[in-house]
Amino acid sequence: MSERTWVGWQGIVAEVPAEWSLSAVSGDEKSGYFRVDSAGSLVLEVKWSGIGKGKVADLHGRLRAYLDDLRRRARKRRAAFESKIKTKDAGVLTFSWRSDRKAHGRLWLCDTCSRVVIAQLSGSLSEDVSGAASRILSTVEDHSQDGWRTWAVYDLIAEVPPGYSLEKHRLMSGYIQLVFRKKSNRLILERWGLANVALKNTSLRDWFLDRAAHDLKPFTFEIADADFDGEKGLQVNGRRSGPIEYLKAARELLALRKPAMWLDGYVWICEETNRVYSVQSVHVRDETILDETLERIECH
Amino acid sequence: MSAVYNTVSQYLPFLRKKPNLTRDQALRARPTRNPVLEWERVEGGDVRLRIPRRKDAIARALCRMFRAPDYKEIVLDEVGSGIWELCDGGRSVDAIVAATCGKYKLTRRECETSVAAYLKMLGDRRLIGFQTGGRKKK
Repeated sequence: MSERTWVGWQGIVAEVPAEWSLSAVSGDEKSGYFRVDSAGSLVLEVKWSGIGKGKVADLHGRLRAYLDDLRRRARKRRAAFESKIKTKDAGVLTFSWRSDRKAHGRLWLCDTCSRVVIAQLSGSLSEDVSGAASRILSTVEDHSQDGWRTWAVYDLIAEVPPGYSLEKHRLMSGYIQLVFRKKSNRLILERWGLANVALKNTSLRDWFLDRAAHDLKPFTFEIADADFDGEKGLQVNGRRSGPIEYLKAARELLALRKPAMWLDGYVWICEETNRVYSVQSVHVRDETILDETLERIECH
Repeated sequence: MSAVYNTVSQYLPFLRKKPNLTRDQALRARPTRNPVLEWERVEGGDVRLRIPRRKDAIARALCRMFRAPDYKEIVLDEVGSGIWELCDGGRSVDAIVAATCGKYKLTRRECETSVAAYLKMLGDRRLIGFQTGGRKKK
């Protein structure tokens, strides 16, 4: 069996072959979409939309509307379209369709996260879509047991504490940044590629200070060498300082929110994957999520 | 007519026709270094390219007017130098992506995006060309 990896966005995760990669993301926690492409023609697409707590979703209606939309598009392309719907077990509908491509999928309502999720694996007519679908669709999960949300993009696999939602993200070739926010607390996960090239003529400390100079400007901070299971790293601890930062904190207090004054973070080089990882938490005094977040990050 | 078009498009790049390739065709294309260029490995392992100026009448006149040197030099960075050396006309874009992925431990998607953008930039500057499979003669 080939090597496999996780892809996860907004708490929805799927296990796919390692050579597959995330090619599109959109939306937010309530409604969104992601797409994972294989090297061939197979494509995994997952779409979710939230429903109000306690509301009943018409799953059959939603699935019929989705298939009707595909039928209309196929008609425009003058392609034939066939579809089937089956009820697998309580609350899960399985479907398949065939046109100029073919697909197998599932649609279900999750009572825990109040989302209707539709996951579909499609491919060209010559591909074994059914076999791949049975292997991959069964791995799609929409929430974790402990409330921590899994985010897995391009080999950055992390879990984020409950209550933190994605504020911004940057998915660039060689650099990934995910910024989460919970009230005034922020959690920043970063991953740089090509560590051996980036750190060729410089130390990790100098390189990081150069990279993070702008983000660290509001803080008075200290950097100390640290070791993570044999990986070289740095520990960053700081506190907001300066009149402007105190004014910002006063504004937060006026809005009846505790200001996030403290900064804690870790930066380390993963020699095995040739990457530099950074986890930073800008938090209120009693928020201590950093160490547990760090434990739940997989760098290799 | 095509000779006129080629001459005009040499000076007006926006008139140049771009070939429509599928992703598979693009991955199978074999980048080849422009034979007019001279290149060498400099200290530190980076590649330095020497690009001769055009020799047509307009270019010669402009060179004389602005006292431009006969060659333009470009030094590629470490990753760029590695990719440049792989552009030998024998390896496909796919093979170059695979080699770069392995060397720098990048994910396939990240590597493909970066290498494709880099090769496109080299191609746009006419530092490399792309050999495609060619059509079968009828």
